[in-house]
Order: sequence, then C-alpha cells, then structure tokens
Amino acid sequence: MAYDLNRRTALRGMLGGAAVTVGVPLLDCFLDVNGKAMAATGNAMPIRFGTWFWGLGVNPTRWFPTKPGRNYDLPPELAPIAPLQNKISVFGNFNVPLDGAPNLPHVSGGAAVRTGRALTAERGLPGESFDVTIGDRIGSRSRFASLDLSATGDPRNSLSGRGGGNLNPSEISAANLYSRIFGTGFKDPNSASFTPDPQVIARRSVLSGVTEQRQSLERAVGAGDKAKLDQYFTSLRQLENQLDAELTKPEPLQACMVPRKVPGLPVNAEIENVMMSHELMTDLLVMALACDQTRVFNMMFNNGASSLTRIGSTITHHQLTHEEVLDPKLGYQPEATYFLTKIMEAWLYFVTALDKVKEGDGTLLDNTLVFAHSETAFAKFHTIDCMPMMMAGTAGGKIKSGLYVDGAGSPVSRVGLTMMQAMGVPMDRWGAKSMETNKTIGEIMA
Amino acid sequence: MRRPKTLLALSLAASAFAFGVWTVSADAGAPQKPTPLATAPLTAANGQIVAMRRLSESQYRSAITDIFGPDITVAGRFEPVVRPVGELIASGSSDAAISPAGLEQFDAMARVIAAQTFNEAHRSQFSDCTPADASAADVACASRILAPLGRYLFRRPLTTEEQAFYVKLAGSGAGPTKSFYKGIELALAAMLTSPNFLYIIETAEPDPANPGELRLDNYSRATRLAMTLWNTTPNDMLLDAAAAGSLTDQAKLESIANRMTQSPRMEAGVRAFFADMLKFEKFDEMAKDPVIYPYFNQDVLKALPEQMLRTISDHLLTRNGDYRDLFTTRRTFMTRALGGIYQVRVPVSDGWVPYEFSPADDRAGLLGQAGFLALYSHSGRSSPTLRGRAIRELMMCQPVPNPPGNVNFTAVQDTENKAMPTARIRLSAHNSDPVCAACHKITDPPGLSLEKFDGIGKYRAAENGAQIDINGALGSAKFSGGAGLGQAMNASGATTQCVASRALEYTTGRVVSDEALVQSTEKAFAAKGYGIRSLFFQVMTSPQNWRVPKSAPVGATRVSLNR
Amino acid sequence: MISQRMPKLLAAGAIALGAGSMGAAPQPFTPQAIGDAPARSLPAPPADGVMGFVVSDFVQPIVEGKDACPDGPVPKLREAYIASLPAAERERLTRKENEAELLRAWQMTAFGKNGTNICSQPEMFDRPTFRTVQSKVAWGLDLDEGNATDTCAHDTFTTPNGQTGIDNQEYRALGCKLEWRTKDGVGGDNQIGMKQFHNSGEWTQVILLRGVDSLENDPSVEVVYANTPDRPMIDAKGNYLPGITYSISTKPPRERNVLKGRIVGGVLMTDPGDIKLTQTWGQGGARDIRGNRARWDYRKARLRLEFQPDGSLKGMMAGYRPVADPIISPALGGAGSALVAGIDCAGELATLRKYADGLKDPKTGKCNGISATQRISAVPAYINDINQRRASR
Repeated sequence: MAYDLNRRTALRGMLGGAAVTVGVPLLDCFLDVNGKAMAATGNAMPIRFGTWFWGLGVNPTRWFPTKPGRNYDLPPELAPIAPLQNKISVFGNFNVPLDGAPNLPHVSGGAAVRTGRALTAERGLPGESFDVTIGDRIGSRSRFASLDLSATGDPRNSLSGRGGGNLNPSEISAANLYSRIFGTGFKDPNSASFTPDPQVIARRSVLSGVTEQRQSLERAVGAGDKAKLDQYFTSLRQLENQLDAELTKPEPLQACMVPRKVPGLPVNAEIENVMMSHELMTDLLVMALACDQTRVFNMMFNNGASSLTRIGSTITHHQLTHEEVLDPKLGYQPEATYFLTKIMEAWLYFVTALDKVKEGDGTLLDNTLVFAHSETAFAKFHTIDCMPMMMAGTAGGKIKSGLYVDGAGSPVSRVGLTMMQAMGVPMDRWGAKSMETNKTIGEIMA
Repeated sequence: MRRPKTLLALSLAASAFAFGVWTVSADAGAPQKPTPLATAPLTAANGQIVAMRRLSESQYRSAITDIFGPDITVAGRFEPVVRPVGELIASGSSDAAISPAGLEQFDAMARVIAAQTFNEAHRSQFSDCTPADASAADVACASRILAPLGRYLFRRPLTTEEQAFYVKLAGSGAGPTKSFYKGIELALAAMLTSPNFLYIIETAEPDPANPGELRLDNYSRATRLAMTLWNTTPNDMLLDAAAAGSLTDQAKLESIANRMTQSPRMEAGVRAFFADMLKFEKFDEMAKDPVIYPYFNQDVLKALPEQMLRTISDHLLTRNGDYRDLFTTRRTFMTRALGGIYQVRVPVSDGWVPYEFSPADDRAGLLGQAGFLALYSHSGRSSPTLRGRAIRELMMCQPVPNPPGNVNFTAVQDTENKAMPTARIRLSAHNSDPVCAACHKITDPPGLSLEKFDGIGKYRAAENGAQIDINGALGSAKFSGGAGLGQAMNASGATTQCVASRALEYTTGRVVSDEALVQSTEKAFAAKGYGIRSLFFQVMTSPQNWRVPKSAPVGATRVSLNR
Repeated sequence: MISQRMPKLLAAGAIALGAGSMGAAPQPFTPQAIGDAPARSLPAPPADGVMGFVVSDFVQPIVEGKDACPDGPVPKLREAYIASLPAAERERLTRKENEAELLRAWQMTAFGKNGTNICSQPEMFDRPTFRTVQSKVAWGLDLDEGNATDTCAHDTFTTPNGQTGIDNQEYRALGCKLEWRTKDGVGGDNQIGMKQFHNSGEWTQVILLRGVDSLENDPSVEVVYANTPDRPMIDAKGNYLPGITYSISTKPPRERNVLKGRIVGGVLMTDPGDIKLTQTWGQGGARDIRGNRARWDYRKARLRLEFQPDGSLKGMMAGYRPVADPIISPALGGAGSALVAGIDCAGELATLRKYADGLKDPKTGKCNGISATQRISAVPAYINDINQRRASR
C-alpha cells in the first residue's frame, strides 16, 4: 500500500500538482501484493501459517536485541538463530496488560498472545486463538484444518482453540503423526483430481456481475471520472484473475514426496528425546505442508510450566527457573538457561527444515509465516511484559523478515492483528480492554 | 434506518427466469468461466455524472451502521485516500482511484457484512417476506429484500434494470448453494462492491436558473447534505425529500438544512470536517522517542486527537461558541493518561472529564493542546517552524513553500550543542542564510511563542538549562506565549476566512478558487456570530454551491497574508 | 485541593532504585541506604496541605554482608534431606545413578498423611527451625520502645546509621533464606521480584497526606495509605513517573488505612495503628482461594518517611505481622512451592513462631505476631480519595 501511495504521490508531483489521476501500473502492484510465486507460474502457491511455542521465556537482557531494524544484534541466548537471521524477525517490548485480572502463572501470558484477552478462569482460552481465525481463512479446504503437535508428550499442551474450554489437542507421537498424514487417506496432491471451491465460484459470479455495470456507468461519465472507473474495473479484473487462479487446477507440487516411516520414540520430557521427537515431527510436518495436506500448524516444543528434564536428572526446567538462585554476578540462572539454548537450537532446526524445501523461486519458508512465542518473559517471577516473540518466513511476500521490532510498550495484540491481516483475515481491530488495538506493526508489513 | 417490517400485498409466482449456472469440470486446466447470466443491459441511473468521490472510511462505517445496525461489524483495512498537497482529503476523494489491493479489501469487507446481515440472527430484520422454499431462488421475495437495501446503499432507488440484475444474481447464487439467503447474501455483497456504493456519484440536471448550465439533482443533494453535515449516508427523510423534488426547492432545502445543522448528529459531521482540516491522519504515523519523552505512550496517543475533537465539538456545538474563540478557550477534556502530560489531577481512572486550564498554564485553545503541539514537533524535539507552518497553512490557509532540497539543517537538529541550547538560538543560526530566512520569518515567530511546550506538548521551564523566550509575532501583532498567540489568532480575520473556504472545499470536494464566494460565505458566517452551524447552513443552502462548474478548478485556496 | 501546577512535580527527578525495568532482566541488586542523609532544603508544601505519592518500592530491606549468615543460606528441602542422612547413606544417595531414588526420597519429606503437604498444612509437619541472622545490624523501627507489656522476650538490632532498639524478628528468622539473601550475602530474589510485581500494576499502593503545613515540622498530619487498581506509569528504565493520577478504589479487597502522624525534622512518623494492604501476587485466579487472599497485615504499625529535596519520599513501614503471614505465598502455592521451589514451609513457620515477639495473647502468654519491616520509596502523584471523585474545577 505504501508503495502504491508513494508512486501515486510521485506521479502527482511530476504533473505539478494538477488534479489528474494516474493509474498505478497494475502488474507491479499485483506482484507486490501477491508475491513472486504467483508471477512465476500464474498460480498462487499455497500460503501457510503456523505457530511454534516454547515455555518459560528467556533471560531478557541476554536474549532481546537492542538495535531495531535489519542486522540486529544477537545477544548470547539468541545467537543460535544466526544462520537464518535474515529470515527471522524478533519482537521486543510488547506488553500484556491484564487490567486487574490475575496473572495466572504460565497460563495468562500465552493465552493473551493468542487471543488478545486476559484469562479470568484457570482453564482454556479467553477467546478464539488467532491461528484458528487464520485457519478459517486459509485452511478450510485442505485435508487437515490444522496439525497440532507437542514434542513433550502432553496432548493437552495446546494454545489453539475457539475459546472457553475448546482446545485443539496435540499429536504427541511422531509415529502416529506419520500414519495420520501419510497412512490411509493420504491423497497425492499431484495425482488427485481437482474440485474447485463452490464459495470461490459464487464470489467469482458476484464480481462478474459488477463488471457488467461498466458500460452503463461509462456512458454517463466525464473524462476525469472515466479514468477512475477504468482503474476500478482494472482492479476488479485483477480480483477476478485471482479467483480464476483458485478455480484452476494447481501446478504440481514439486517438493512433495512421501517420506519413510519414522521409528517409535519414547514419549517423555527428557530434553534429548524431546529434541529428537521434535525433529521427526518437524520433518513430517514439512512434508505435509509441501504436499498441501494442511496449511495451518501449531508446534508446542515444550509446555508453559516446562517439564523438560536432562537425561539422568529429575529436576525440571520449571523447577530450575524458580529454585535456582539468580546468580547476582551473572544476572541469570545458568542451569535453567541450558534449556533455553536447546530451545533456540530446536527453533533453528524447525525454520531450517522449512527453508530447505524449494518452492517456485523460493522456499517453503518463504511461502509460510511461522510465529514463535513463549508464555513468560522472565520465568522466575512470571513476568509477562516484554513477551519474547519471533516470526520466520514472509507468507509469500506479505511480511518483511529479518528485523528487530521494538514495540515501545504497546500491547502484544498488535502482533496477532498484524499476522491476521497479512493472512487475509478481514479484521481491523482485535483484542479486549487494554489489549484492544487497531495498530498493526507497519515495520513488517510488506 | 432498519427497514420496518411492512406487509406488502405483493406476491409473485416463483422465478420463471433461467439462471446461469457454473459448470466446472474436474480435470480442466484452464480457468473456469461462468456461463454468462442472461441479463438485460444496464442503463445509467440518473443524468450526467459530474463527480465521483470515494467514500471515506468513516463514511463507509457510518453508512453500514445506519443501514444494517451497530451490531454488524465492518472489519478490514481501508485504502487511504491521498491528501493532495495543501488541500483536504475531501478533495483527494474526488481523485481517488481504487487499487487492486484496495478492492480486495472492499470485497472481503462486503462478504463479511453480507454474511452477517443474512445470518439466522439478523435476516428477519431485513426481509419482510419469506421465500417459498428456503433452499431455492424466489424472485418476488428477493426483489422485496434487495430493492430497499439498494436504495440505501446507492443513495437512490435502483433502476428497473439494476433491480432485475441483483435479483437475478441472488437467484443464480441460490441455485448452487441451495440456499435462498446465500443468494441474497451474494447479491448484497455485489452491491457493496459496486462503484455505485464505493463512490459517491454526483449527477446533474439542467439548471433552470442558469440556462445551458447544470445543477446537482435531488438525490445527489441528499447525499451531499448527509455526508457533509452528518458524515453518513442519507436517511429516509432525505431520500423521500429527494424523491419529492424538495431539495431543489430553496425554501424546503433551507428548512431541511436548518433541521440537520441543529441535530445532535451534526457532531459527527463537525468531527469529520475538522479531522480532515487539521490533518488528523498524521496521528497514525506519530512516533516519539520514549527516552526523551517517557510520558508519551499508546494511551496518550489515542487521547490526543480525541481531546482536540472534544474541545471543538463542545465549543462549537454544545456551547454554540464563536469559531474565533477556539483559539482562546481554556476549556477542554482530560483522561488519566493525558493527566501525565499536563501534570494535572484527573478525577477518574477511565474515560473523559471536563477540565479547564488556569490562565497561568498559558494553554489557549487548540494551539495549546498537546495534540497540536506534539503533532507539529519532531520525534525528539519541539519545532517552532512546524508549529508555525501548521498555524499558517491549516488555520489561516496561508501556504508556506517547502524548503529547497539542499538545505543544511545541522544547526537546528543539533540539540546537544551547548552553545545553542534553545530552538530560538538554533533557528537564528540556521536563518543566517537569507534563502531560509524568508520563509522562517513567516513560520517561526508564531511557533516560538509555544516553546515552553516540548515535543509532546508537556510544559517545560527551560530547554537544556537555558531560559526560554516565548515572545512571538503574527504579522504585525506582537505578543508573548500561548495566550498571546491565541489572542492574535482570535483577532486575525484569516482564521474565519480559512475555515469558510475549507467548509466550501469539504462540501464540494473541490478547492474553491472563487475568492468572491469565499468572502461572501465568510460574511454570512460573521453575520451569525461565527457559529459553525450557520457556516454549514450557509454553504448548504447557497444556490451557487449546487451549480456544476463548467471546468474543473485547478490550484489551492489562496487567502492574502496578514490581513 | 492540589494546586494546578506543582513546581516540585515538574522539577522532581525520578528516583532510580537499581532494580531492572519491567520485563527487562533483573539487574544486580544495589543496596539501598534508608534515609541516612538528613533532609535539607525542603520545599514548602502546597497551600492546601495535600500531597500525594505512589509507592515505587516496597520490599524487605536487608543489610548486605556475609557476617549475617556465617553458616550459609537456609538449605532447600533437597539439601536439608541430604544433610539429615548418615554419612554413608548420604554418599550412596548422591551418586548419579541413584538420583531418581533421591528425588523420591526428598520429595517424600514434603508429603504427610491424608494427602497433606508441607506448605498447605505446615502445622502438621515437624521440621527443624532455620539458620537465623547472627549479625546485630538491621533496618527497622523500635516498635515496643523498650517497655511494652504485650511483647515476648527478644533481642534487638541497631540500624546501619546507629538507631538502636530495632525490632525486626522477621528479618532475624528469615534473613538467611535464599529468597532474601544469596550465598554471597547480597540481596536475593525478593529485591527484584517484589519490584517486578509492583511494576506490573497488580497491587499499586498510594500515600495521601492531608494538613501538611511544613515539611520540616508539623505536629499533625493525616496519612492515608491505600491500594489503587490503577496501573503505574513507568519510564523505559523502570522509574515511576511523577504527576500521574491514582484513584483509591472503594471496591474490596482494596484497602485504605487512615493514620495520624507528625513531622519532626523532615521526617514523618505515624502513630501505631493497623495497616492492611492487598496484593494480587500474580498467583492465581478467582477459581481458587489464591490471588484474593494474599494480604499484608501489620498491627501496631508505623510509617517513617523522610521528605527528599526532589519531592519523593523514602523510608519504612514496620509493625507486627501474624506469624503465619510471611509464608502465605508458598502456602497458597501448596505442594508446588515445596517441589518446584524447594521451600520448607513447616520449618519456616516453626522459625517464625520461635522468634515471635509481639501480639501477646494475655491468656496463654504466647506471642502470635512477629516484628517486620518493609522499605518504601514513593514519588509525587495525584491521589483521588474515595470521597473525592468530582471534577476539580
């Protein structure tokens, strides 16, 4: 949009401020909005959205960058993401104001990020989580509305749902995940027949109806207003073309391959096992996305009150964050921080796996938006202001990546609103009370 | 404006039309084309189109609320209308095209609105008939539902052809979806995406008073009255008056304009007008350095434009105040968040309370409010130049040229330089260049009188430890501080002439180049004690303003300097 | 009525207390002296004698140094269990391969019969008392002024700036806990954690003074010490901004304490009275008893606040707390407090009982209260009292 305005303003300037409307070159605009993948094939690549959750936050001074914009600094605990820094954005100083509702430890923060609301009951979600809202928009036609995964073995570990007690349960076993996706019921997208969406067909007919009004309007219009009408109908044609693309059998998905069966793994929260389980699930998920079996996913690496342990040890990550003394010289808890390093390595694995798959001119990651977040900022005290969050991928060019964004204390709901808008959800305002916002994060909107 | 349920003794047999049906073959590679609908060609609604103005976001929203009720939500991003340099957005809307991305949003919003309107909970409010078969088309019932909605949305009755077209569209949608209401929903979405809704299409008819010339016709007048005075779509009263031809009858027009300017709904119109005149869209981009201005936050940002609008609305409407006193009044409204900026006690934790500054605060009228002071500052420092320029351009309609491209701003920007602790000192160093000085002489003297208010409009006793000189000037008037500036603005005839010309521009969507018209409007404004209601009454009832100019005017409003 | 523009509000520099900003990582704690500089060049009070403040710091003060706890910090449950074992068994159980057995064994010490646990039902567990503070220096006030009849025998401290007869048995009993003091003798988690809770707006406190004629000497001042639901406004460094309005809520459980006081030499001291403050505590919702119950309850309590030239206040609140109150947070946390944070609630309660020095029951002769102190800092603010909600003009 900004591009559009600048261009038009510039043209206006060239014409010396005369009141002349100049149509913006449409092809440019179209590419800007819909990304390269579409231009290459004439068809839109599927755009996916997903979340990646980790519990117990970070050590804020050792994780958050200080320099906003590109090429942000990487403090020690963020350092693992260095190889893909240009594809990952980091968000700091976004707050979770609860307006007097109690801060339920390890629960309120994650629920607020996902719903833009403060929890008042100790269970469930205070509203619909945005991944579900996005799924209704982009995922309703794929085989799985979403794939919800938990690497630590707890099916109730989920922050996705319609609100209240409704939570989408998580798949906890990579082997089960394999049979769900690639077992009976799997349809090779490249051999299956194509059924157009009746909703799209109906919309297409609405637009063609509007087009038919063109002649009658143009007969009665002067030259100046005709330019505007031409622009309107050109825009309309673009919209029709988009729908035509959706009504057309898609290009073959080149990256789609049925993977080999995965071994059964013990289901527990030992960090080494969780890392392995996470990798297996990630690989399967990536293929499920490449084969367009789903367009929405939620990966829970660990749970909020993290039950991760080290092999041979029984003390949990959660226990460490509370019991381990804050080393006053270091300013953090070294034992608890071990887990954070592992979490960041796992996150890098996840993003890398998406980025390895080629799609069109780019990668699967480029056609995806992954949002990673935790439920606390500093777990020892259950702080929820300055929530640690990241985004990877560009959703087919709709989101800019590789930035550090400083929210200056604005509500965390801006992040959810921005992502929903980028994924095409018609919504201009989101969240409740102090978290209600209509301010998207302009820095990352392409 | 929800349609009351009326029982019409109209009953038609089920549709005899042959509806086009989509056919899709599963293995086809090419885009699927619909079988064309069998429609009669559409004809133009009424007369010659003389202007097309894009609906603004707030007009769109209030139209939907008025037509469908406040529980129908409008959700989506609006393509902004570009403000032409030195003009109102209202003028920009006359030039505004709709881009593909913008139309995509309008399309998405239309579908959301239509789906809500005809869901189970709402459909009965918009239909006074029941389809013979809820899973099939019903021409009679569709007509009864769509015709009144079309009249509200297009701000005129649908033509016979249009009505037949939308009814047919509803029928063709009901077929494959096996739902009458899905079909109606699709037809409504089509109306909401139509240029007839998204554009205010002004049409004209021959002007009997000026043979060979045109004047706006009745329905265009209804829309202009509603959009200007109430910032919304015309209601039944206006549409009926248009149908009866009352709006080209001077006496009836005056009676209607009088009623509308006295209505509480006038507040919406006045707010929209001043938000445009004072460039409130700039608040969307406003950013302040949190280290320099810790009192600035999102709650403050939200409250700043609202404080100004509340002051304007309270002074001009509630109190029927003199426009000129908008530059001197100390009355305003406060929130807890703003209390930090002004360092005052606020009696409530939530919401707004009336507040009156003390004379010692030196905050006079709009120019003393943090919204104005912060908007016309940089992110980390105040700017007498930006403030002075805004006073000249926005309040007095006196355009100030842009600085040349190659200016060296080092002196003004370096707030760390101990040798130049105040903005006045830095500006005077900058203005040693006579090229710069020429314009700064126009902008800085009024702006410097506000220097005791920092870049977010918070009071400061000193800048970088140095005393602040708040002597200022506006033309030949010399004064000190904000109160002095307010008095000078109050006494300057330029402010009333400016708002009069802006009201004309806002109403017509064109810059008014006819100085005589501006002056006669200002004179009528003055005669009524500079009340905003009388200004808009004058603008809406002057026959000259309904005449269609022979050619599009070019250029910005010009009012002589320093009257 | 507060004057339109208070010069001291405008001039007031925000105080820096060394704690990290909200959400930012905790900074190493810097010890705070409490009012050891005599107040000087104090401004005149406003003409209406009304002054408001928002509390920016409210935490148990400690005197740093290793001499307070020469034997080290109070062990956590696991360490306490290991220490209780005979040497051979200790050696066996702490071997790596026996970790699971050790875990089961020490966690068993947190549970009793019928599903009881050491934090929810601390009275049902018999645990040894804690290591206590051995040094003679602590912050606090002389609450009994040496001659009260309703106290029990106890030692007193001297403040770092030389005031004697200081009653602070809570510090003596708990000051070697790791939450209070690290093994290096510097301020523990409480110092940062309390600030974090405060900054989040879960339990903002305000102080309202009425009838102030002089900041140097005034024989009669009314002090309202209360909670407000309004979230504090804080700058990027975590400092409270002066000149913000806070409204004292009438809704329970917000508390409002009215005290009488006097100013002598720039120091405001209140007469003994009851002070109750609420804390949402970040520990639970309406569904269970947590969250709503956390409360600071001080009897025979006094505020000692020094006016600072920058307009802020620094000082202390001291009084007698019901002995079980200091463990309310882990008690509400239940078994989780013991298993996750290793807190020995029963040992803690036993220690508090042992050192209880006030609120003597005349029948039993037993003391049910323990002397305790909080450090307080406050910055100027506008306070709306409960009967004062009209527009000011």
